[in-house]
Amino acid sequence: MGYPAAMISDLWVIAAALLILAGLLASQLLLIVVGVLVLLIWITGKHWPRYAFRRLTYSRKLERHRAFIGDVIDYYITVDNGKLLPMIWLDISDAFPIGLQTGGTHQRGVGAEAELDHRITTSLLPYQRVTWRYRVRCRARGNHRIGPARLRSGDMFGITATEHQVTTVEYLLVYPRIVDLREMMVLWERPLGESRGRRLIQDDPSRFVGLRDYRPSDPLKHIDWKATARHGKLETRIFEPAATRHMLIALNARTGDVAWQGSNRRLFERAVTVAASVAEFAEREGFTFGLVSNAVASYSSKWMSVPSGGGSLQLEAVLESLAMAGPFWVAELSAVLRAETDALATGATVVLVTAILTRAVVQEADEIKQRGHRVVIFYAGEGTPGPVAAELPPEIPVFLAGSSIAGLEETWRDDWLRDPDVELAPEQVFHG
Amino acid sequence: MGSFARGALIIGIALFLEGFTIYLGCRLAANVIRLPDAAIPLGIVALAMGWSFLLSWYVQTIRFSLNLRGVIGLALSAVSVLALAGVSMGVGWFPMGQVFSGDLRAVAALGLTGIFMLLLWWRGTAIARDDVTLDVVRNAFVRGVAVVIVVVVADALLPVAIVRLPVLLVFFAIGLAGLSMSRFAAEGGAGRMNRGWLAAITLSVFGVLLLAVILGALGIGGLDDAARALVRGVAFLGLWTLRPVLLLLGLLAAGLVAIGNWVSGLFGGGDLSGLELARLQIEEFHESLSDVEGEGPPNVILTVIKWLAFLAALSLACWILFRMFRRRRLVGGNYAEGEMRESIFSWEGAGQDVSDTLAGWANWASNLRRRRPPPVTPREVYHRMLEVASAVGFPRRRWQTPQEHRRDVRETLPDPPVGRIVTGFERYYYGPRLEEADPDTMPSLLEDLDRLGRDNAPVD
Repeated sequence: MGYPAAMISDLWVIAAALLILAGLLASQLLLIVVGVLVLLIWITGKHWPRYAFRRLTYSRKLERHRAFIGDVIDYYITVDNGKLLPMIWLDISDAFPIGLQTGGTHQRGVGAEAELDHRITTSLLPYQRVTWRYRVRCRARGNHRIGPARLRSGDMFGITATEHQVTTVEYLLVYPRIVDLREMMVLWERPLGESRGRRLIQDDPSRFVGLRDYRPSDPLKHIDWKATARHGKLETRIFEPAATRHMLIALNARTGDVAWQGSNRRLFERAVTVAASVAEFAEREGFTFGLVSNAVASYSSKWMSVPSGGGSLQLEAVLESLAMAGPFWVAELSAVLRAETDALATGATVVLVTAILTRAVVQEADEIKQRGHRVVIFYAGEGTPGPVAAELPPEIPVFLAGSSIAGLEETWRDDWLRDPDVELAPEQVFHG
Repeated sequence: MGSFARGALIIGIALFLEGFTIYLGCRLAANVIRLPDAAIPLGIVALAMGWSFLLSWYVQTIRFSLNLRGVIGLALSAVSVLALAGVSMGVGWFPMGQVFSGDLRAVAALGLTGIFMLLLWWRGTAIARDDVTLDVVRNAFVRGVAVVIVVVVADALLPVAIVRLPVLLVFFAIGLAGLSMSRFAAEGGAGRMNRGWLAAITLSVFGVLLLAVILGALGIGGLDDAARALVRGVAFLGLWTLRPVLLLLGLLAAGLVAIGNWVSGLFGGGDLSGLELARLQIEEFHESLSDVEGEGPPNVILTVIKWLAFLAALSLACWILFRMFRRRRLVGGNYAEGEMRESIFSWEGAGQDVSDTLAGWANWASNLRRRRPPPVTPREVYHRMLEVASAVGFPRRRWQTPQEHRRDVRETLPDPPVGRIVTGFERYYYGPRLEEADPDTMPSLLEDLDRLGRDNAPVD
């Protein structure tokens, strides 16, 4: 027994049957037609939804599953109605991550809970397949999940509705931004202000590699006087770096002094960008490198750790981890470093990327240095590090990456705010 | 169709449904109490609904205090209702003279008209004040259907005709189309309604109305009359398919005769009576086609020609429809860059679909014939659950274990009840053998089975 107002109550069938019977007995066309109409409406309202989702398939396809921020990729949604019964109306509501942008989406929820609702309302004829092509712009790093979807349909007159959940999901991994590391190497000259940073890696004068033309910044002791005399111009000797070519990138997910302040998303994203840029630099310069962080990876509860390795595959692994890093921390970075730096090669460089310098981090950096490693700090916070940073040994350089990136963030914000319906408008007309 | 146009159309449909319901109610009341003058004509109903809606909508936008706005609305409403009632009865804009005329029947008729006019006014202003949603349209339609049922029963009992079939068909056509469109507005939000949607709605509504009329005709005239009407209808359509072709041929023949005569005249004249004869024969054939529908046995050849013409036209229409929907690419629908529609029809799939449907009906009919007692063991509960799963398109394969099948079904049926039924079955069937099911388990399993049945039923 349904609701009379929705015309699916059994009372309507009784009324329709009585009308038809009376019409047949009295040969009254009006009674029969109205009875049949009421019966047809009741049947469609009551039984159509039962068969609406039979032999209906819903699928999504992404042009590729890895992308960089700013990339625009094709996204296809396909619905097959493999039955005789048409779907006069079908409403698809697909959960869409806020880090991806496409047309036809509406935001629901706010803050960390915010996500987009991708809606499609359409109709399908019997044995018909519909495919929609969307352009999706990647505007934030992350392992973005599309789905699950909720499909709603019902009878042809919209009297009743039924729904079906499609639990399958699609993932799109968007790598973090990478900026030129040299742009971020503004050295914090304690306490006399800022100046352009020096070389990160020192040369080993015992390992001669070759010669090149002299540059004014080259130390005079590196000039090869014999070669200069031979060529008639100043020549500088080039040496292999002194430090061991091993690097560990340590990302601090913590962005505030106290835990209850939560996470500053902007600072965290900035730190991730710096860490990704350092990884890219390490790969370009031929380092073997790894990553540790007290951040939690998406869909995981453990801190992140990428064992040391080299080459582009290693960069991919590190960038994937950074893409999945969530703005939550499970332990103090010092604890993570203590656990992860035991197996670190002697003489390796530890690049610490943090938006906050706490006393524990400073002490840990000092301890790492005392164990024979070189320590470099990229400070991703606002302005200059706090007074705790003054306790750092002078051998540990601090680069003000945060203030360097702050200017770029304005441009990135404009990219984020682009209107999807305008920007992702159709470019060409199809003819079928 | 944009959201504004669709919204305006839905408001129009809601006004029509409300107005039509009151129109029928008024006609019914007027005929029952034998005051036919009190019945409000459909045109006046439309005017009253439109006027009340627009006036109320305008008054709400006036920037006065609420009290002042209420007084203005009341005054305008009183004057309007009085004037419309007077116009409806044909006694002028100000019917107060009728009240004091001493004619009790006229006063009673005016009173009845006034009451229904007030109802019209109330519904019109209510629609202007509230958002017209799917619920509003649906409720208006359901109320209308209820009144229609009462009215057609009264129509059969009373000696006067209260309502005619075409008018009722218009009501159902507008109501059903309005429901579909309101559903789109409710689900699609600001989405643009494409022509495919409108075509689907139109076809659905037309199909239902046609089916109802055909079944009605079958009920009244029996199979012989209905078959005769069908044959006549086909012949009529065949004739109208042939007519343009014959007219074109006639025109061509006439043109050829005229040109031939002119050229022949230039060269001294010649015998072109053959062309003239051809033209006359086409005209004669044209007329003979119409004569077939007269009394007496039909001419077999002409009937066959008409049927062939009808079949050719039908095939052409089907082919055009098929080409339209076979493969179609659109732009901009649902904010997508491209929308492609293609047919996935296969005879094998269609055959499977039809056989599944027939099997489902046969199963339903056999269940109906022998109402089964409720299951008494977890095994029986499990087998009932398998029937539900099969009905939603997930029958258990022979090679599937219950748990494997459960994982498949999870996509459609809620997992907790299915899981409990499967686990209950496994414990009962594979666990230690018991003569009777655990009395503590069965009620919860039966509840789960009931819940599955409910979840599989339509919501909303």
